[in-house]
Amino acid sequence: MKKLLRTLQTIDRRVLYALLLLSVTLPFFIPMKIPVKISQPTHKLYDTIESVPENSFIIFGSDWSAGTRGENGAQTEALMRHVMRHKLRFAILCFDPQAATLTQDIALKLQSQYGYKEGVNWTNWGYRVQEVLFFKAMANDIVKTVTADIHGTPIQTLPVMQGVTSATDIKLLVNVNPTNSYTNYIQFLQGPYHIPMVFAPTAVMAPEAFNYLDSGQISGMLNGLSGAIEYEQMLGVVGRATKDSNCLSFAHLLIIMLMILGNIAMLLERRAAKLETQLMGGAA
Amino acid sequence: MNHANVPVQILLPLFSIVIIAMILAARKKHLFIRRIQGLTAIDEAIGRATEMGRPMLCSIGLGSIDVPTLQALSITSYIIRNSARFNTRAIVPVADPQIFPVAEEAVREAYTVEGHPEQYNAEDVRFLSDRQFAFASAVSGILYREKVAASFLFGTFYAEALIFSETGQQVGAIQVAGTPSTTQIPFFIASCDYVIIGDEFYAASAYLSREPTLLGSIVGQDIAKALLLLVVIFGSLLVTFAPVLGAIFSAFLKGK
Amino acid sequence: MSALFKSVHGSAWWLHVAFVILFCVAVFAVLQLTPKQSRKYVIQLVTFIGGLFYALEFFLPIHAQVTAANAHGEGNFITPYMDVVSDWLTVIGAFTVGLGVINLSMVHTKRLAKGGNTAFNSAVFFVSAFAMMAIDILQKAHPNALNKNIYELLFSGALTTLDATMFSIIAFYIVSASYRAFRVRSTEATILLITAVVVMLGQIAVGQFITHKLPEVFHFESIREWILTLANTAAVRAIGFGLGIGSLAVALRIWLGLERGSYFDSQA
Repeated sequence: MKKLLRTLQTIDRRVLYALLLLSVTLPFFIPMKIPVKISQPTHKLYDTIESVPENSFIIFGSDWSAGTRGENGAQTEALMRHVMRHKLRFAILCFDPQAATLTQDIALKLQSQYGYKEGVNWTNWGYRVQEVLFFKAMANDIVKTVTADIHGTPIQTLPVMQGVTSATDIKLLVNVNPTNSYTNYIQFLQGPYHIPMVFAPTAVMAPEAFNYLDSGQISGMLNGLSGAIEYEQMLGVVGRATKDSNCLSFAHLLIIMLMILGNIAMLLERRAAKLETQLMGGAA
Repeated sequence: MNHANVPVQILLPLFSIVIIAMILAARKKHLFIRRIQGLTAIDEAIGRATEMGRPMLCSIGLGSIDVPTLQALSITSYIIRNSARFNTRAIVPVADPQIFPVAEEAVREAYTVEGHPEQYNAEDVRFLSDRQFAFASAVSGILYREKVAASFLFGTFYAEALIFSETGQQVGAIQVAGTPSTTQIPFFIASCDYVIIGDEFYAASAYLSREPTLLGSIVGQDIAKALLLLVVIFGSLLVTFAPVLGAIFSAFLKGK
Repeated sequence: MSALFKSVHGSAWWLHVAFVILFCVAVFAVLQLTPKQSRKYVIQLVTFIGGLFYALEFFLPIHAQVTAANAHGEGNFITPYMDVVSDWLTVIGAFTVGLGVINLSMVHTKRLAKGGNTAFNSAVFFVSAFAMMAIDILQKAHPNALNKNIYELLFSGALTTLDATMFSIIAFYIVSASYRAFRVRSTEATILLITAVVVMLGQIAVGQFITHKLPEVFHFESIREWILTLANTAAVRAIGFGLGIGSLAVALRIWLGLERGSYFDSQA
């Protein structure tokens, strides 16, 4: 018994990893859909996008790479669906080299579903460097700062950019970001020009971002993959996030069960040791 | 914010004056700061590495030449000066080419100050990669190959923090971590033996060196925090009991 | 003053570059000849002037500054020079880019020459570094289909995938870390465990299903939202205040030359 309790407290990490692998892959073969409750930050994000007038120009900031594709990719897809459904013009802006291509792929995949066309309804400004300097320059003159889109087309020739010259013409900031560089958006665009901003971080970054949500600097937030799942539910679509929701649930449950198992084994072992000490003390 | 608004123009100079005043006061009077367990454990970790005859890893994070990285370098210097007395090897992986010459110089200086310049090995201060996960995999490799006995993780960390600390756990290293990156603190707490949270990180150099200037700076910081707390309490009371005055105060703080 | 920083071209550009190189060599030579103790004062002076520049630009009152490039500009008399100084910093930073590669090359060359177990890894470093560099230069100089495909294979196929793989390792590590760390060893540890379980259950459908029959205030998702929006926000904000003031103190000490210990002075 003692040995069993000790083993349950010190399960080999290879067994743990194998269990995780199973818990993440098996749900793909188990069709199960349980509705989730929509949280307040997700509601606020939805309402913020809905409140922007149709045909307004927005910035879709995307700064994620392949590492966070699971969360940020799903969020980008969900948000882009809503933006396209709400008939907003958007420009993709990336400060990560991989983000430009990854986000472009998502936009190209979705555009036909909503009657969107690159150059006419949306554009991709591509990968840019020196975020702070870029924002300072872009706020005053977008055309001179951006110059061309990802294909080299001068942006002033694009129908989507008509009437857009400076930060005052931007009606919403959307940022999908696994790092804390979203604060540059707040500092250089949202704050000075009072542009509403919505944010989609990974679940790890979300606790820090709640401060900005509370202070009103961010108007809405998607909390990691679970936020993307809620958002797809609000939009009434079955996208990437919904398909991954079972994996998320099973992985979380595995971690919880392992934690509880380890604690039960530890408490039982402690109790057994205490009883043994009492018995030995009694015998003496 | 590109330029200071009125609250910043008042608060920042006020806090600066308080901190400088306490620095000057500390030169005349001994000031007390409480025990910080994580920092006390540094000596214990160095001792363990010495006993086991295995090297230590001192990571200064992924930042460039900024305040957290310079602070991390200051702590690393202290660790190396202590370890130099016992001839314990310290490996310092660096992720940013701009901080690399600064780190090299700091480590060389640490050995020289302790009177052991011969212990400095240029290969032990190495630039690995400025790509986050390339750096993480390189540090993991070092932890495994060198069988590190003590791992010190101070500085700015991102998602790779857990990779460092869990790998350190796997090789059986004693781990002390401290970072201003609040999102990585939970991961360090789960996998490190000692963690320094929040502004204890900035108090570390004062705590370890006991230099009067640094102690005065810590006390000045605490007074500044107390002033900030008073502002928060005052604002909360105003908003609760006098909403009109609260709205005026709130607009003032926003700089309108 | 702004005439000093105008762009130049042709032979004037070469003259400027030559002058700057000579100036830097002269400064370096003067610094080397200066006694070590005095060098410290030079560094402190340069640090102070640099910090003063940014501090004054931030604090001095601003007024409208309309320019050809910026119709809504605001600033003070220092603001027009911010871009110039930023360019200088970028150039200085660029000098250090090669340092890292040189250091890596030196370390791995020594290992390769020594032979042994680690020589293979060093060989892999050189092959992969030069291959990536060569193909990147080739596909920019000759952007034909072959070069672009090889570049895509190496960048998207290898590098990006390896990045994602390393990131995914975190998921496995979090399982082993939480299994090992979240034990009921003390009151605080128990609170941590319960909070972690509630937050995790609150964000998955299964967890929400467990409490859906209870009053809303006892739902896992409601408790989770309370923890994140109230308890967590307050704690993170408090830590943020401390970090901000700590950062201010360290910056002040470095700026005013008051920093002590490590590579700065010790106090007598």
